[in-house]
Amino acid sequence: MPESHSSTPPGWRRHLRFWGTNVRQDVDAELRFHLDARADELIADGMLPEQARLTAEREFGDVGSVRRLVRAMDEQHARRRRMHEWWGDAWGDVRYAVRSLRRAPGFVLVVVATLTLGIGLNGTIFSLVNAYLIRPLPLPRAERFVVMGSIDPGIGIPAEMSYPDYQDYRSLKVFSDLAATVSTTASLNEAGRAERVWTENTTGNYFQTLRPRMLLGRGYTDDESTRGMRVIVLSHEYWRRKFASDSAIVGKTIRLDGIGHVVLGVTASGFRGFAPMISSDGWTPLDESPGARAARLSRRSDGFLNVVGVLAPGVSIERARSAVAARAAHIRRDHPETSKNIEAVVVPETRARPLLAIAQPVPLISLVLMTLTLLVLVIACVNVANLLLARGTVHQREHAIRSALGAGRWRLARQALTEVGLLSLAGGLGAFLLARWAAGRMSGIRVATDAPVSFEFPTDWRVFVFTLLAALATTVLAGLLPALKNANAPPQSVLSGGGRAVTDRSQHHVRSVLVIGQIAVSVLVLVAAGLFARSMRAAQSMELGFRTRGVLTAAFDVSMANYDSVRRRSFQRELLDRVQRLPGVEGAALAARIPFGYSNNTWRVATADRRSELPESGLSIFDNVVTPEYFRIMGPPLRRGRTFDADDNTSASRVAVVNETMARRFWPGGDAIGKTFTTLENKAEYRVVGIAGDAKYMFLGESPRPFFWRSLSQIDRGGLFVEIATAGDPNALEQPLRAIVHDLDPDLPLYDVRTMEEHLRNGRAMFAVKLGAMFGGAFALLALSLAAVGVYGVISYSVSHRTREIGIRIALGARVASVMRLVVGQGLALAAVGVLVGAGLAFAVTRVMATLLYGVRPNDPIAFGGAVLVLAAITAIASWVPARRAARLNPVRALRAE
Amino acid sequence: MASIDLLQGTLEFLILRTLNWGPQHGFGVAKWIRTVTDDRLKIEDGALYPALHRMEQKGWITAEWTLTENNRQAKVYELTAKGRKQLTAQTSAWVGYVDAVKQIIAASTIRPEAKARA
Repeated sequence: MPESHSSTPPGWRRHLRFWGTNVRQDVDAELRFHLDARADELIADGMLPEQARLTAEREFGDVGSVRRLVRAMDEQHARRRRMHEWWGDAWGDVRYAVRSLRRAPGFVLVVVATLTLGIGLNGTIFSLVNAYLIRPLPLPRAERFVVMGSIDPGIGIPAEMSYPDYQDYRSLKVFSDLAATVSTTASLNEAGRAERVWTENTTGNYFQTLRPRMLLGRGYTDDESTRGMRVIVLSHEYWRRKFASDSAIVGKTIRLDGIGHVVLGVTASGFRGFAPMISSDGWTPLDESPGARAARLSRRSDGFLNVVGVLAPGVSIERARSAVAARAAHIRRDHPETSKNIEAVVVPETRARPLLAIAQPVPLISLVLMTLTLLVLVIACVNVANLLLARGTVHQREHAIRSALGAGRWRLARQALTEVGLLSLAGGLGAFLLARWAAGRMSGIRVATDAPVSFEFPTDWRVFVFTLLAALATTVLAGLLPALKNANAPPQSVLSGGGRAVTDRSQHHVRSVLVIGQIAVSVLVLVAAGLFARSMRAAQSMELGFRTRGVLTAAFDVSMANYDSVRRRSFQRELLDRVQRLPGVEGAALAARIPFGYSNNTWRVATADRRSELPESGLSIFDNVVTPEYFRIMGPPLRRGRTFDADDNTSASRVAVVNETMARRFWPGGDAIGKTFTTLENKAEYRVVGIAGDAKYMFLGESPRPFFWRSLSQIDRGGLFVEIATAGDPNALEQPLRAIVHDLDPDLPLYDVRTMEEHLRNGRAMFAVKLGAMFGGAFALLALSLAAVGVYGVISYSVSHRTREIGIRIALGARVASVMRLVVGQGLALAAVGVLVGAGLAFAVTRVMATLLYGVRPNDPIAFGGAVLVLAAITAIASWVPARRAARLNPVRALRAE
Repeated sequence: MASIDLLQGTLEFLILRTLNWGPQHGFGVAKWIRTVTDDRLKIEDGALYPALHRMEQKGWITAEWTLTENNRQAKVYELTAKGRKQLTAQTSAWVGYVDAVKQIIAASTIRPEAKARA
């Protein structure tokens, strides 16, 4: 008899069936039984075995297809049932987890808050990374965008490209389009009111290259630029702000630097070109016409263009690079006089943010930041794991019973994981909201420059997916360990051992060290935040050496108007005269720079005086160019000598006022007045006529530095600040000032109009301190929360392990207070070590911050004392909660429960 | 006598009736049907098995592996409560159906118009 007929289903398969049916073997066995039984019948009737088998099979029909059909049916059914069971179990787990979590709202709150902070920080940093490295521009073909720059290998930093070079690269077939642009300021006069705008001056194919959505009208093309037409495209934001969303704007003419430009269109909201940090007000075409070409466009040595291109379909960046390198070799060969060393870089647009020149370290910085924040997440996870362990011990008895009753280990682990998963999910959701809020706050940061720089950190789906993944990782990290630990605890040892898991001493040490580390870092961050906060406070009432109250400053640039130097001077004189006659004005002065401003100039200054111990190459010194009243109105006031006067004109010898520090450094022990010094760059000699006081110029915390002033009547300058002093509200002077400037020249814009106090508060003076206080505060909060949870987790865990011991103590008559002391003391011991380490760290680190601080010393006792007190309080509270639980133990129940 | 091709559902009904006598393996069911109907229903033995497995999945019958008197492992099917309910329902449905068919056969001598007038 053939083998297939003789075998019966072996008994051992029943055991297999315990884990699930074996469909194939069952079906085979069943059909084989049928055929065998029928054949036996036929043989009993006298048929030969072989014939009997064939008859049985004939009667049966198509054995093969029946077998296949039944197998398929059963397999599908088994699959469905397994799925059904899995989902049923999962749903059961979720309901069980929700039920048990609802009994511990405090635990849920602490865990979810910890995870929200930990994951939220990661989400926030990720939204930065996303904005700077990942997110494509919201433009078509963005994945093929590349940015180009010229590079001199000797210097190594990508720089702007000249127009002739750009033209040479533009004709390469590897690019579908290649456009170039340069940011510039212009004066825009609309409805009789001039203002300075930031525009991008671009090649005609700019809109063809970037293809932004247009709200109104269209972008310009090569047709306009090669014909040298005066047209402009406005940004959505500027159009809304300046033109009150005028829907009939297209076709109108507006005056830019006094020249009429026809408005061609308005871009849709959100378009910011390919350097999204700068929000331009509008776009104008370069004059690319053959005739009227600006001289700049013909100079191969004059690199000023930012170049953006789109790779042709199917062209890799490597191919584009080799094509560009070949073309660069041509340029070197054909134009050795200007481009002997020139090369070009091509990078994907996402690697050219925020600017090509400074984009190179961005990936590394991102990596470092993400690593640090992931580290924070790991700490948060460990804290959560500790909390889960502390809670898991409470559950261990129940787990042990269920395990003894036959629940599988994996099943129990899965149940614990479900609980953690739910917590992580809640934490992840909170984290996404937190990251969105934080990214919004960071987008709101205004960088201290006068260019329209702003950040945008959109929280898009990538950030959402990232936080979700982080939550998932958290589940595994924080959940797996306690879950497996619980699941692995042998039931008999837990049940007989009185519910105590075996405490591993070394594990406990690791936990303690970790908590100490968290406390130390908290102290460090808290001290730093405290120092920044105290600087902020001190800076409100700072003495800077110049007048800060009741001053209005405003900027204008007469080089925007095409004045000759005589006209410039008369304009300046007229402006100053009329401002000084305004009611309530104590005085006014013109100056090339304002303290804590953005354009600063240094000179290498040397003196022939042999007693000064200055280097041969001179000292690097800041200067200002001012009108005579400056010292009286703005300060610092003159100490000795005289200010400039009418005789100090262009035909007289050059004079200067120096500050006390410069006088002391350059002419020690003698009188500076009458002495001379030289600016080495232009070999100009100045005679000192006066000495003024010291003041702060760059940083709040700087020590007095040399400084000198030159006379505006001897220096021809276009861009100036007018500074007006008043006893009243300086803001009230803005309108009269604007009226005067408008009266003098309606096309000349007045910009950066603000009070000195505002300038100091929002400008670079306070920028570092403000940013420091903001981030320091946020990080301090984060570090404190994590440390508090860390202490709480470790102490809770330890209390839950010492239940029996504490029970015995209470039974033997220990008082509530002594039990509390025992537990809280344990927490405070951790805190003491942590605070000591942290304070030492802070002492070392805060010295570096000295220049950023004002009015406080890096070892400020209040900042240090405050940090220590806060930490001590937090630790005390974090260990008080479990201590109270321990003290309230009912000794009888505590002992019996075990 | 001509054999009748089985309708879908008929087979399930037959199986239910067979198992109503007691637990039985697939071979036994096939044999019983053949005996009772004098082999007039042309059923290939193989056709039984998809039906049996389908009914098992629907929960009308359950199966268990047992040893036969020949000491062989056989998969034996048994009616469940659900299956019994099905049997009752299907039996009355079949009786009604058969009555209706009988009436049609009996009435085939009367013309439709006459019946309508009457």
